[in-house]
Amino acid sequence: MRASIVGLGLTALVLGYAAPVSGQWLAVDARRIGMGGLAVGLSGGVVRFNPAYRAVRRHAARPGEPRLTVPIPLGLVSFFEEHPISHITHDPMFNPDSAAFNPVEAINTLLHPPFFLQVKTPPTPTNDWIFTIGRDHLVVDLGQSRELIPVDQFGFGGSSRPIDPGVDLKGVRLSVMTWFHTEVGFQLGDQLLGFLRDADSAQHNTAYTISADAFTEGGFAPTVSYSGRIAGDTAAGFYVGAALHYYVGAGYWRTSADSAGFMTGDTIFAGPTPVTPVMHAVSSYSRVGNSVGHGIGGDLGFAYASGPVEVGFGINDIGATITWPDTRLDTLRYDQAGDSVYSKPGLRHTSTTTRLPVTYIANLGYALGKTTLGVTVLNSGRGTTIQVGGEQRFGMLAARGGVVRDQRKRMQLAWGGGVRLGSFSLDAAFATYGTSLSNERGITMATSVAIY
Amino acid sequence: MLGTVWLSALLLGCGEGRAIFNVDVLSFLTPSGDGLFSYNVVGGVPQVDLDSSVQLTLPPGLGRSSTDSVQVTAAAILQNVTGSGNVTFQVYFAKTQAGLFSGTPYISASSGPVSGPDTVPLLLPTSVSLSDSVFNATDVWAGVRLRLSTNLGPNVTGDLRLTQLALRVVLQDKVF
Repeated sequence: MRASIVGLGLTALVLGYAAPVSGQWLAVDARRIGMGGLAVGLSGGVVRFNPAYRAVRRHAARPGEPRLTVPIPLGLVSFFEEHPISHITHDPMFNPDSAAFNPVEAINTLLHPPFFLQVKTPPTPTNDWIFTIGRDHLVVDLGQSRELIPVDQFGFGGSSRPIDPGVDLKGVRLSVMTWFHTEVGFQLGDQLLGFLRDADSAQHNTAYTISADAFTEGGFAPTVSYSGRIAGDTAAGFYVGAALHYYVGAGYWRTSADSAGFMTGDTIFAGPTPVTPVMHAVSSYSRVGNSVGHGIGGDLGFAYASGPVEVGFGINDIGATITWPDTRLDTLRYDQAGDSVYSKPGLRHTSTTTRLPVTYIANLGYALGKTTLGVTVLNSGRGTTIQVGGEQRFGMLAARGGVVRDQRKRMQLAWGGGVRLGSFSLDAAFATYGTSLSNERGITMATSVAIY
Repeated sequence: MLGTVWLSALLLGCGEGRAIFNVDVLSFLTPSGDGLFSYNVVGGVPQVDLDSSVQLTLPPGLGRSSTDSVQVTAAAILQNVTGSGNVTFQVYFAKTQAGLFSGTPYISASSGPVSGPDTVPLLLPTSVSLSDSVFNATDVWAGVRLRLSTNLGPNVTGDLRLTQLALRVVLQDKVF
């Protein structure tokens, strides 16, 4: 039970995080990070969302754009110095049996992998928890930790396309992309919220429950796409792009719990079982190796590049509905007699459909001489991210800055600089982040080498 | 016990902090809330014990936790009605019911000689026990004992009114 709870929790959080990270471009480029993660159109980031940019990259020229960026993961070096791989199983960070194990810290490490140096790590609550217990009385005071309990619906999600290998020929591209879609969300019921966050006393015959939903699917998609300039020239051109995907789903799994938690009785602590678990959840799935899912969807993109200005708009996964022809539905229930949760098999060989979230991106870039400025607005199904940033080059030096409104609607800042020596530059950037179980921001320092 | 797994889940986020359990043991011992323990013993008995006990079910996983400290606080009033003798009040905790009253009491207080109608406040010193292994378990038994020695004469009758019996357990949790 212990391993399953921790494992499921961590897995859910990591899966939930993977998608938004990709949605917000897990930048390993210190130059981009210094501009708030901004992917000025000509860099690789926009191509994933706007197929027209394949053509923009071929035809237009922009100053200050590196051909290749190599990250320097100083954070990993530091991390593995502190947590040697040879002792990883005994490391207090990963060992729940250790007195120093702090699950919040472990989850935060997974939510924000220490790829780069952590200049400031969000504080981890280490306060005492106080349980006041009487025969008919229970109050839990979590102290500062109660701030971690989300009042509203809490969730991560989105779609990602890790790799998309293919061949290009005169604007036509044949490729096979991999795709993943994850959603994790939960919301505490009012009673449980008051019990945990406001330290309300437990009431008689009351259900303290949470509703939760976890979903993941993935597969690959043979794709044919086109991108090209349909008007203008290199100096000022209008570009379009379109892609048609035939989604092949390898597997999917969804569990929805409309109520999971516990129910108090006539007396809070009466008898050996003071509370009764409440579990009402449904799982539907089609395992990898079972029959595959099928679906068709597409991307559209437009871009206009004129002189120093470029504007783009892209939509992904239009109409991407996946049909899973052979799925199973199981119901999870609590068996009071056996004091266990059991899975009751339900429908077999039924057809289920899932839908990939439509992702929108709009970007505006300005690159003239030694100045680059840009704005990107991205919505990948779980809130909108807005990035505003810029770069100013002074001879061999460059200064950068940016502001981000992240998926949690919180403002993040970024700043940095670089030194260029011939065809190489060494870049460093600092950026705040809020992807952790904390209301305070962390700061990371990214470093990379760029080749021009 | 799955029925109390939810409490373990609560402790997941406890991190490096401590889990502190303030348990009103009195409410478990006397559900009616009056805290009364009555006695009626014939005179001339050198020693007789009147015991009362209850099982406390604590959250699972505490067996893996290390106890920082255990503090027991109690207060009582002895209300003797008839007879004379001596009443000693003792509080015990143990992992099993069988072993509950076999060890040394956590706290103890004696009324001293009482005779006839008399009211004696029992001021029990707070007991602090470090690294106590009794509470490294899901189930803990709590017991109170009235030990009476009576003088020749009429029956010794009366009540011990327990006004407070609180337990404070501080754990370095390793619940998961």
